[in-house]
Amino acid sequence: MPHIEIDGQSIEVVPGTTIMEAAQALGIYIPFFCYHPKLSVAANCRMCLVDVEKAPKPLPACATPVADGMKVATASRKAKMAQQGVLEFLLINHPLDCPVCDQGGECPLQDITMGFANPHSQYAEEKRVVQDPNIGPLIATEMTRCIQCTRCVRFGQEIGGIMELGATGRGEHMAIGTYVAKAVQSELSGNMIDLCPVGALTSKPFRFKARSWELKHTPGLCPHCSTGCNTDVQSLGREVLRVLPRANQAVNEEWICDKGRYAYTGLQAEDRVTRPLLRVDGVWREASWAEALDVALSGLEQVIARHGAERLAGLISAQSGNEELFLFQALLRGMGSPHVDHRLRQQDFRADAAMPVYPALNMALEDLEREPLILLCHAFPRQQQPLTNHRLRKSVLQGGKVIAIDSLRQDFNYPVTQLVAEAGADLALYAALCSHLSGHAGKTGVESLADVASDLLAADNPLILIGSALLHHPQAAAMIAQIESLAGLAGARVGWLAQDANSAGAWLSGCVPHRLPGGHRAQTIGLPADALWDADMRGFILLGTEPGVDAMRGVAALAALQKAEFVLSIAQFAGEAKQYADVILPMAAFAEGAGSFINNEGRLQTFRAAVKTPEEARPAWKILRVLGDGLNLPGFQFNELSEVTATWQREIGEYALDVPPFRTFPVLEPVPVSPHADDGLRRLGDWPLFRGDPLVRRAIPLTQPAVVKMHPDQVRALALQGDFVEISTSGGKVCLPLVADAGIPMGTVWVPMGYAETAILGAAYAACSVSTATPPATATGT
Amino acid sequence: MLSEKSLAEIARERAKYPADQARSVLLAALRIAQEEQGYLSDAVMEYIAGLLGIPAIQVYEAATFYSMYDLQPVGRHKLCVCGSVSCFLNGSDAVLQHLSERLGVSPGETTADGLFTLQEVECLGACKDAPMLQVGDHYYENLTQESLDALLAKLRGESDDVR
Amino acid sequence: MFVNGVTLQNRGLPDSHRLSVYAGTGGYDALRRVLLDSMAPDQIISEIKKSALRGRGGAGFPTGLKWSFMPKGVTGTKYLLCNADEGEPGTCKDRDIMRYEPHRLIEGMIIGAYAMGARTGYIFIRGEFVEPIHIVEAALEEAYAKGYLGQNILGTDFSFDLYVHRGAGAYICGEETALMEALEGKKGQPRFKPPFPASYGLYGQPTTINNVETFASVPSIIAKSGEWFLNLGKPNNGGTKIFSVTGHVQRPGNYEVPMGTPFKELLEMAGGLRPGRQLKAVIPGGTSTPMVGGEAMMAVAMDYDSIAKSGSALGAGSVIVIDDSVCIVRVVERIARFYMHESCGQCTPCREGMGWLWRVMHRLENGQGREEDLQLLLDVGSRIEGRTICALADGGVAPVVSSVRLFREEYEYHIRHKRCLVDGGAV
Ligand SMILES: Cc1cc2nc3c(=O)[nH]c(=O)nc-3n(C[C@H](O)[C@H](O)[C@H](O)COP(=O)(O)O)c2cc1C
Ligand code: SF4
Ligand code: FES
Repeated sequence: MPHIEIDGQSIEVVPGTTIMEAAQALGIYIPFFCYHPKLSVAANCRMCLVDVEKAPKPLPACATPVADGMKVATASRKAKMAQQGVLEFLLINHPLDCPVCDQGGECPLQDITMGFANPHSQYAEEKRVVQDPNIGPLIATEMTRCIQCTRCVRFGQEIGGIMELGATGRGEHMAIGTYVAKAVQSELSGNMIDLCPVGALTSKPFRFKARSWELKHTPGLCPHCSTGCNTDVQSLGREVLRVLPRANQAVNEEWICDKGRYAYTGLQAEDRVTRPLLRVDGVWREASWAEALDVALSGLEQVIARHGAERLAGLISAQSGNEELFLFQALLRGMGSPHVDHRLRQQDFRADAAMPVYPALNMALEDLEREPLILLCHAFPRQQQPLTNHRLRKSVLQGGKVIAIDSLRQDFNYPVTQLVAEAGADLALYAALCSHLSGHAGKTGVESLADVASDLLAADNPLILIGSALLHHPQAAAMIAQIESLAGLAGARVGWLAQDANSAGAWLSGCVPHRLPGGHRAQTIGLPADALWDADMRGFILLGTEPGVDAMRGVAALAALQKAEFVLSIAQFAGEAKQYADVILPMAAFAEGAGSFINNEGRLQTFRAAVKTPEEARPAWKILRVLGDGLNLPGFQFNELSEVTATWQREIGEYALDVPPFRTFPVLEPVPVSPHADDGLRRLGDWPLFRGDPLVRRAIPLTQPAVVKMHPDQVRALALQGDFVEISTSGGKVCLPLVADAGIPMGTVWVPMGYAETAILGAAYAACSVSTATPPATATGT
Repeated sequence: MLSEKSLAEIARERAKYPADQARSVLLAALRIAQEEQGYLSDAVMEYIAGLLGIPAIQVYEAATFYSMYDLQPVGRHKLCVCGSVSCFLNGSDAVLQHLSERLGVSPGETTADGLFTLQEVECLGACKDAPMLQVGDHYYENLTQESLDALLAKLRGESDDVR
Repeated sequence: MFVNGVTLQNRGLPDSHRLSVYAGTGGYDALRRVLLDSMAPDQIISEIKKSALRGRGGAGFPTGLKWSFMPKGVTGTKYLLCNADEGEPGTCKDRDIMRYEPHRLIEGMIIGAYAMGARTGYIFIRGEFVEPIHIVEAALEEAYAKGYLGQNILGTDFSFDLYVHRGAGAYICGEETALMEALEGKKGQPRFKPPFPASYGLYGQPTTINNVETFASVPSIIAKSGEWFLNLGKPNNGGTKIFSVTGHVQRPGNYEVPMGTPFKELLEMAGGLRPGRQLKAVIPGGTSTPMVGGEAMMAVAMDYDSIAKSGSALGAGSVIVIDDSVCIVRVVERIARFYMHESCGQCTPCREGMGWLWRVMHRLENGQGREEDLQLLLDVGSRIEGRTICALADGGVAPVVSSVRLFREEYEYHIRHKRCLVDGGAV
């Protein structure tokens, strides 16, 4: 192994190590701009020039591999001269507008300039003028500050997986921009802001809000998907002003997705509730906590008194912390109701008994990178779990293969072999793959299926990952059963791509109707969420959820809630609750409370409050405790969150990080997908990246209008004219802009869930029809 | 977007490179598109990106990097006068000035009738025949005022023929 | 003197670009000898080494040594590239080889491919060279038709495909790794080395690249022996070399003369200076090489080592002759503009420094010079030199710095009097 000496200190490193890496291992600082450990080496900024013995010229530390016996001086006269020279070149066209630059205080250019530069530039010519491209609502550009390090460009190409920014022009006209003024689309785009070593790319929502050194930093956890990215929540006073990634190589490395980065802007939504609200004679008014709790408790008691506790149900968001999930089910079960659930998007619950104790990836996120063959079953992690997707992408870049089975062709950012089910034939596709695997398919089978089957058979212990879209399918249980046989035939392991930040915690804490904390079988099995809408419930407790848009059958949910005698909503936002609730209790939102989540790997992570709750809002666990206390239920006597945590931990016990995939499935009666309408169209839909929870839906910079997508041939076949179409289902109809998308199979119409205006259409996979429409007078959009 | 002929030509160029190296044909595709359409519009660049299966920004990067691509319409004849050192030593400034006067445009501009664009370019590799200029595929060398005037007349005549 | 006897030997013949004419003068005999008399690849390389042929693209790297770097027994294709991007001001020799002797180039490449085990080759011709492109393409067709290219060349089990790749206007693509990027359809931005092309070149495969003139020298070396070629020139500076003599001479042109020919004789061949003019300065190897004062140049011999001793470089043999009719500040301003225009933009010192140098030169030329500008030019130059990925930036510094040193009084005159010392200007 090469032995080298840097500034008199010696170190032995593996061959291929660069001088920069060796120096960092020794704790020796070499200034740099273009270098980044996660990106390819460009060696273009030339800031890291060092003096290597016997080399006639200074060499870039970031790109020069060490050689045995090499002697490097990072601060000799020769090295310093080279570095100062480069710095001066970097500054001649830089505006030096640090006082008005958002990067101020966290700017390597500023820091290095303070440390190194000759204060008097000899440059007396005119500075370059550069245009600032508009690249969308998330990233502000100030390109005179750009030092052309191309980190952002390399990020898009190498990490983001879609190259949107490029360096156009040549020589001193080289400029960073998009292809003719397009908004950046990558779900990881915000990371480019962190990577930009100067203030050329800054956060638009954060613009001019504060100077970086005034901000308080609190370690946080992202509440928006099951990856569990670690964040650094930055606040000033009571306001969260920025969310940045906190490096954790095992989880999110040093990235977060745009949802995790910008969803905080939703905290400013107008309908944020900060004081208890009561509806009195149909009119909403603010109330004191004492009064509101009184009304809440008596409302609940009346429902139980009149109809029995089995007419009361509780629904909670899986973005809630473990402590809250635990208390929530304790409250419901304590009152005698078995109906507690968090799975608002699921339609088919026949597999409940066979489900694992929680949906686990069954492996470490990092290990995903080394999987040679992964079969995704109705999973599109790029949208649902962006940084888990990043691991899959890395596996593919390292020669792994990913195959996806889904109801539509998804826009992956790496090569994926995709098998797309014909309209409604999702289950049949899994069954057909099983036949191929067992050699019963004969010669007539679809060619690509045969290829996939032989790939699976050839692979050593391949990995199957089940996505949330599969659970949303009306035949989910049968599909899971098929996957079970498929796994058996292919000798595959199975993992789940859980949906929410704390889906695992929701299961383990007992927020499912058939299991108690720790996964123990419930004595009385309650109804799953979707069944509640048709079950004549008289009372509901909601926590952190908006069933009108969060539930698969939003309209049915709204109807059931409106019909109920009493609804208590514990919420951050009033929103739709004003249509059905009787009491709204204001709870802490993102960054305002403490707690813990269990991510997809089964990793238990905790977070702290970064800011105080606004006005009268309270952490949900405290609200639940007071309710339990008020109802004289046992086990609610807590003073500190840590006491709840301790109890929760005792109750759920030791949970395994990898769970046995399935118990053997019962034979299932096939459930037909909804019969097709006359024109044979079926509505597909899922929750898009920025529509999945109440907070992100309110983040204005992330707003994207709902559109309908259909195959261009389908558009032609239906002779649809113009930019708008009307979709109708048995639930109702809606008029939306139309986008042709060749990824949508024929016979299928894609309409997103998670929008108030599309909820009327009811569940995904239902029959629908489409016709040309004139655009509505007022634009739609929540 | 592109004619059959152009597509066939791109396909011929494509065959020069390994099967997994579609991007290698980018420079040729841009040239062929420009020959057909006179310049590279955003639409045609996006089309080529689709044709090669590469991000549009990579096409745009290349199109703005190389000097032979025009991203704006130019005159029917682009007069590229070499102004690098060997031509300069042999009077390229005078060539440029002469053309400027004859055409009534400054370097970088196009005549009102859309016939000529005048441009000063860097070395075209014909230094021993200085001063020189390029029009389309042809080099015109050892230029004098007379030969320039004759050239302009010839190019005008060709354009008349086309009309 | 042995003039125009190697790479341009057929230039005077009608239709010299046709295979029939080339074959009629012994063309492709070397290839036959190599393939049919089974000359071993190692033997070819050692013959090239003996010839002391040095790369004609500018750096003068020994060709035989370069060929010997090509790894043996690799999986996948090895590539052989010809650099015909000829773009440095003053350089115009490869164009003539391609116009008059395309088959000599092609034969040299086939022999090289055989010696190095390359299966595919590309001739990267600058896009503006449309006429040479058509000629080389036609020559390739002829060679394919004769079985000199393609599968099982001359019935042996050696196969080699050769194509033309057109550039699109960028001097930097003459830099070998930028050329590879351009061949891959990217912007021509040089790659950091290591890894070197012999291990990681085109498409990441082992690759060797040589200049047009380098390849065109190969058939004669194989036909007549390395020793013969060496003896045409001087030790370590084998053979003849084309010098493109341009600028202020009466008969500018390409003169292929033995290495070591005195500059004085070369100047005479090119018709000497125009009547009544004095030699002021010479750029002996293309604009990237330092300027040499006229008087000093008259004592220099035209070979790599002798020119190096005079403080400049032979480069690509592009001899730019500057007489006393022109102001040196104007000349250098023009050269500086070229480098600003042609910098690829990736390295900070080049992207920012080339424009800076030109802006100062431009001010000086336009009578807005300041006393401190000369030191500034030298300082800025010293901060660029040796600090970039490729040598373009060094090339851009050389004319500025060397001219400030050589013609300080002319610069100073400019600063003080706000105009040229020489006011004839050009022509
Ligand atoms: C900026 C720059 C431009 C160059 N241009 C050319 C060129 O046009 N033609 C050429 O043969 N070599 C050129 N070179 C040199 C090549 O990088 C390379 O050394 C050469 O092609 C190798 O061939 P040779 O060994 O036969 O000389 C250039 C180098 C640099 C740094
Ligand atoms: S020195 Fe100039 S031309 Fe060469 S790689 Fe660097 S920026 Fe590009
Ligand atoms: S950090 Fe090494 S060149 Fe930029």
